[in-house]
Amino acid sequence: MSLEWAFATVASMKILRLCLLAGLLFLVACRAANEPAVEDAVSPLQITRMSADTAVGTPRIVFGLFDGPNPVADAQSVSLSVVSVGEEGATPVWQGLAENYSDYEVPYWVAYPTLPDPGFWGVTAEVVLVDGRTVTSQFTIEAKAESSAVAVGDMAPLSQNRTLATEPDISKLSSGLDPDPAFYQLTVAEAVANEKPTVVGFITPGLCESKWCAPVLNSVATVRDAVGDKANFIHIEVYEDFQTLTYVPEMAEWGLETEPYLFILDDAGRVTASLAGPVSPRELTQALEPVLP
Amino acid sequence: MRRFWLILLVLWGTAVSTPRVLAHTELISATPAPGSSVETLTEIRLVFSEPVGVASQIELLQDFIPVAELHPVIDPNEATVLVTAVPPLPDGVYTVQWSVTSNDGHPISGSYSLGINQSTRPWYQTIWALAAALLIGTALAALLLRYHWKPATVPPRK
Repeated sequence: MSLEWAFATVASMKILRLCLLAGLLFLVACRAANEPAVEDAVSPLQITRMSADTAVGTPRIVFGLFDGPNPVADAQSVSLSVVSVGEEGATPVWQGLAENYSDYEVPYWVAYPTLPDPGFWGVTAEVVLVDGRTVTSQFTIEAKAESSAVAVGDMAPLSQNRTLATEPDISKLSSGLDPDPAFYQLTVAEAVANEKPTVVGFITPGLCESKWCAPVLNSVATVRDAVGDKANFIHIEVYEDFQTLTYVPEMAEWGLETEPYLFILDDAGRVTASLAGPVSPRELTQALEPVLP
Repeated sequence: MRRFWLILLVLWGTAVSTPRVLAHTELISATPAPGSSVETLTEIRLVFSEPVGVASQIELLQDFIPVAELHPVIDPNEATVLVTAVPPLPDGVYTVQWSVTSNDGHPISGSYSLGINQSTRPWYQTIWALAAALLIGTALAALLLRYHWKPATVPPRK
């Protein structure tokens, strides 16, 4: 069999067509076999978590996804799996999907895992990206025996927070540039007495300008405009003095060490939801709806 | 001259009366970068958007367990930079987990992965690229052969 004969055979394209067909089949098989697989390689995905006050039970875990400085806004889904840290071959104590809230300045995700005991818990997040690839990221959370803040199920402290009736200068009631007087009409005690559900927001709109906390009061205003007078809406400015940055006494009364914090009270004054960190209008609506008349 | 003092007074008043703007600090950059792989990991350097508190932490985890005792410190020349030395570690994928408290008490934490001598590209993507290159190369060769190579006449069999 001479070399010329071999070239002639190749030139006839038969083998080449076969090669091309085989190559195509290989590529298709390769793609199909690996598309659903979890990417093992190191991923640039970052998880940023507002680590406020996590306690045993079903705490609200809120986090954002970032690729470099940019939020990953178009992830298809995030599923979480929680294991006890340090247990060899531990089976997950909780698995579930996080919910995406993109109606906020920075899109964020929320999950309510079950954390049965105090201590450290390992969380694996499987993130399905918009192109269908799945990347994993891990983090740990520490669950305290109990939250320092007023918890869901507790009766709300009947605070005598400052209102326009006791402090007519609205610039002292909010650090915001253009405070809305409607937020400073009632004390928490008065709100509970009028037997409507109440949203109490501990926020410092003018002093914390980050994308995590600054838009929370806007979310409250948006929901208030939609709900009308079916509920009370109270903003308690975090700082009593904007120069010395001393907290208002209600921060200690509610057991708060950070902000922003939203509490939803039913018409009897019992806390039905406690939302630390970013809260979008849709999430606030979801939390408020069960207690609305 | 009176105008000068008036302007100075206004500027001073503005500076004194404007409240300090606080914020939840954010991670601006990290070295090594999130998702990267290095030959040896000797230091982790995190740059935040504002000064961080002394209680700030960096942990290096594998399967949620710290693999080394780290002692992060705030860069004495840059209050926004948290840096830690890392002892020698075996090859593998690690999770860097940081938690910082900004000066006003806002806590925030985050995590990302990095590798020591790990591929930053999934293996199937490498195979995919190789296979695609092979396919394109073969197709080009076929075109060249078809249009530019004239085979010699095949000698008849004896």
